[in-house]
Amino acid sequence: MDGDPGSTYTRGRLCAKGYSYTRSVYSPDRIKYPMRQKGRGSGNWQRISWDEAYTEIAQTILNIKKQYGSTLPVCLNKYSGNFDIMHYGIEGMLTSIGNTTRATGTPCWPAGIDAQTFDFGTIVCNDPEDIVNSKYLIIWGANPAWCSVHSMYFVKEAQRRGCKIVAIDPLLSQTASKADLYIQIKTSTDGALALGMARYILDNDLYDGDWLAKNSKGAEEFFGYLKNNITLAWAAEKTGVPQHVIETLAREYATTKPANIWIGYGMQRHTNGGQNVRAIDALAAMTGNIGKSGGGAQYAQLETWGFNYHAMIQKKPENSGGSGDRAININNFGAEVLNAKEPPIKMLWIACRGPITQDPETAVVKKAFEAMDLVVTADMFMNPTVEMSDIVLPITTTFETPGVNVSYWHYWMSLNEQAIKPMFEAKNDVTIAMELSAKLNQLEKGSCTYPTSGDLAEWVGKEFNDGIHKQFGISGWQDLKKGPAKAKGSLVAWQDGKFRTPSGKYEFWSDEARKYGHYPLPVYVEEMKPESKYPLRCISPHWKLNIHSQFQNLDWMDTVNNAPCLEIHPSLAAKYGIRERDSVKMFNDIGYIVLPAKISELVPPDTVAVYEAWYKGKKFNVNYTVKAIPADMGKKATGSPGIAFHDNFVNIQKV
Amino acid sequence: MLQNLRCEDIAQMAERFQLYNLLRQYFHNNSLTEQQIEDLLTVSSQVAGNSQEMAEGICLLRHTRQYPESEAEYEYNTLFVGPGKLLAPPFESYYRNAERTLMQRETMAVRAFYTRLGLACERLNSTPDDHLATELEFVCYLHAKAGRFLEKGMLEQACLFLELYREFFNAHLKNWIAEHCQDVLRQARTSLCRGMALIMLGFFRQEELRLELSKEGFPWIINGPTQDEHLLKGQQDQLRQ
Repeated sequence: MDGDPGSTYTRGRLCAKGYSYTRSVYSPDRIKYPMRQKGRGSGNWQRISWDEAYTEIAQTILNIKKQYGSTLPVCLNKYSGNFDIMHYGIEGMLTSIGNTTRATGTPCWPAGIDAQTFDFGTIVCNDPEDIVNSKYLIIWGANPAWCSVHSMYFVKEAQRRGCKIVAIDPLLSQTASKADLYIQIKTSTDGALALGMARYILDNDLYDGDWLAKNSKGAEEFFGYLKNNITLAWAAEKTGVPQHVIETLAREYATTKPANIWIGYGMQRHTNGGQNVRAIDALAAMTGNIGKSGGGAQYAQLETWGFNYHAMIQKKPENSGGSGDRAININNFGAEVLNAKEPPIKMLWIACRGPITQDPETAVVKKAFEAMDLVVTADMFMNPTVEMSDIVLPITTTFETPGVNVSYWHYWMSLNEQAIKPMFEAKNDVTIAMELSAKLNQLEKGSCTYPTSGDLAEWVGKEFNDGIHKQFGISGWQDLKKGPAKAKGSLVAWQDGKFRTPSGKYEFWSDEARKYGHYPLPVYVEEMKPESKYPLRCISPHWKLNIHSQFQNLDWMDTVNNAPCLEIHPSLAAKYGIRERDSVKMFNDIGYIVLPAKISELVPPDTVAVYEAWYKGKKFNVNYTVKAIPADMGKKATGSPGIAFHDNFVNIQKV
Repeated sequence: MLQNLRCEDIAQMAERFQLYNLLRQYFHNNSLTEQQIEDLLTVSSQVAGNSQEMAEGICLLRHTRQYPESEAEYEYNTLFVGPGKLLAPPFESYYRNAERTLMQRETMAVRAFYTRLGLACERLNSTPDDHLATELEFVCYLHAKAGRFLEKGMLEQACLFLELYREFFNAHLKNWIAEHCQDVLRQARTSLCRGMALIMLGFFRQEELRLELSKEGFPWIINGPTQDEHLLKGQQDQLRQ
């Protein structure tokens, strides 16, 4: 297992997670066969054949349709477990049976997406390899040293070439440790810092009036807002960052060209997260750093995702009932499943997801699972979601199936060629869709429109179109067999000045934002504050050895670390009489977890940090304490608001 | 004299074949019928000798007449099938490779052994070649071949298969079955899973000793084992008989 040196982004290297792939494909603990659990959560599993699995699933779907007049009681929860385009076949399969209920939205990044959609029209970032051209780089609420190690090469290279690296984060992260300047900010007050900086830039005439005149809408209104509402003293008090630091930061940022801001997903997981991103975007715009190599306000991009979605786009069978799919909020999944009426939800299909470890309000999610007639989960390993399923289907790893992958950060595309036969009885999502379709049609002709056969490698080819060929400079998808390809142009976001907002300009003033219930300007929305009963903020950021529920269960990761902990500042620990490795109960009104304390000055004194992860064989799950509080934005671009994961207020006690 | 020895060994070999075959079915089919348990009890008693483990296993198995009973089936799956972390993975490489993963060097060595006889796994590259059910099936195959040659009085050919069995046993089965059975015994509660593990543990210990004692050659062979393997060339029998 190694990286492809043909990619100038990875430069032939993998991250720890990538190197550990071999530990899943040949793990003796993989899910090997379709199995049925007698009693959800009982652990009493029977091995069944694929045919038995398909028959039970198909019969349940057909019975539901007969009883309720549509397949709306069938609900799909599928998301980011594997973003290989072929996995969208599972959405296609659900479409093929009729109208269904869909967990809609994204848990990770919706508030930021909406913010940039209001400002720019959509999310587009510069090619991350372009970071080397930056002269000033603020990494704001992101920890690439853990979560985007390939990007760190470009950060360090920029630094070597004289770029000043500033890290802004409530946590003194690994990335912050490598920065030239670290600014510890009070969690969720990022917008106040950005607006304070903006006020300084405005007052000192450091903004780019020409750029604003040519490219923006609402700059005057924004400046008016700054003058009337924002002071540096206020920003300093709000953020905990001394005023002179804000001034220096603002001056350096505005006067060093090109200056770049990398906006992390962590800082938008708040009830004011989207507004905070809009305020940061405004900084980049007012200084004329948008559309510049080495500049920008980098969040993410979906520019390279122009596939046909051939596996996904399917016709619904005629007269299958219902007037359209029903969307429920993926970020309040448990409650929305339980609350769905007319018709109720009776069956869940889980793919590429682990709701019981990853969703907020775990106890509610479990109740939703308990209320179902049938829960089907396609997965690679036993985990708490599989534990609460009736049927588990063994799913292929990346090595065992063809596919194609792009990124929402870099601009490369890679063909995934099948390297080995699927181990045991594992199958790809598209194969499952085809075979289930055959079973449904066998039991009731015309009940499923999904094709019942097809060559998977050819299906990968069917995802491509002329637009993709042109964008990547390839004559056909087979060209990718020679190696990965990078998009040929548009690698500097908004260089053409053609913003995709209603006005075609960068919008400080966004009527679209107002339409969605937000203030039209990037304003400061008060951060959530603790109540006296739960005085501490708990943030649950990404851990370095996993992606959500994946990877931490593998033996290599387990060897490095197999114990979650509560990171707590020494002063806070002293207040609660907590010493290193003491067992601590962290609780609020919805749940609790017990875990050992790790005393650390890397966390602020008023905040505890518990990295989100699923540890094999451990009862740990921080989401037992996380409420499904919506972030402020996300509805426009993703269908549902995000989750304010980091607005989790708790109390602690030594136990 | 030769005739008497041969008769005795054909009978013993048939017993071994029968036991291996029942063990194979246990690991291959995830279940044993009542009749198979009866047969297992009979044949185990015949080969048990002084084995304390086998005696204990037989005793436990006598309490398991209604298999598949659900409790034993669920336990069997937690030990050998999944979907959770296996408590006693039935794969040689898990026990013998430091990586404790599947499809490792040991798996390929088993594959190479099968290939010497023109054999290949039905689910090649999907089910590891060193799955216990497959290794047991291979041993059954070797016994069946040896038995057929013995019946026909073709001693040298029979000997060749018995030597192959000894070689396979020593190179593979011997090196992991005991640990595997101990894993089962540490975790299992049902009389079926415990009983089977004890019978297997006792039988393999006994077999190891027997093969050690007969390493100078099997007694019915006057001229010793032949190196001539031409009978095997072009053998395309699949493992499943």
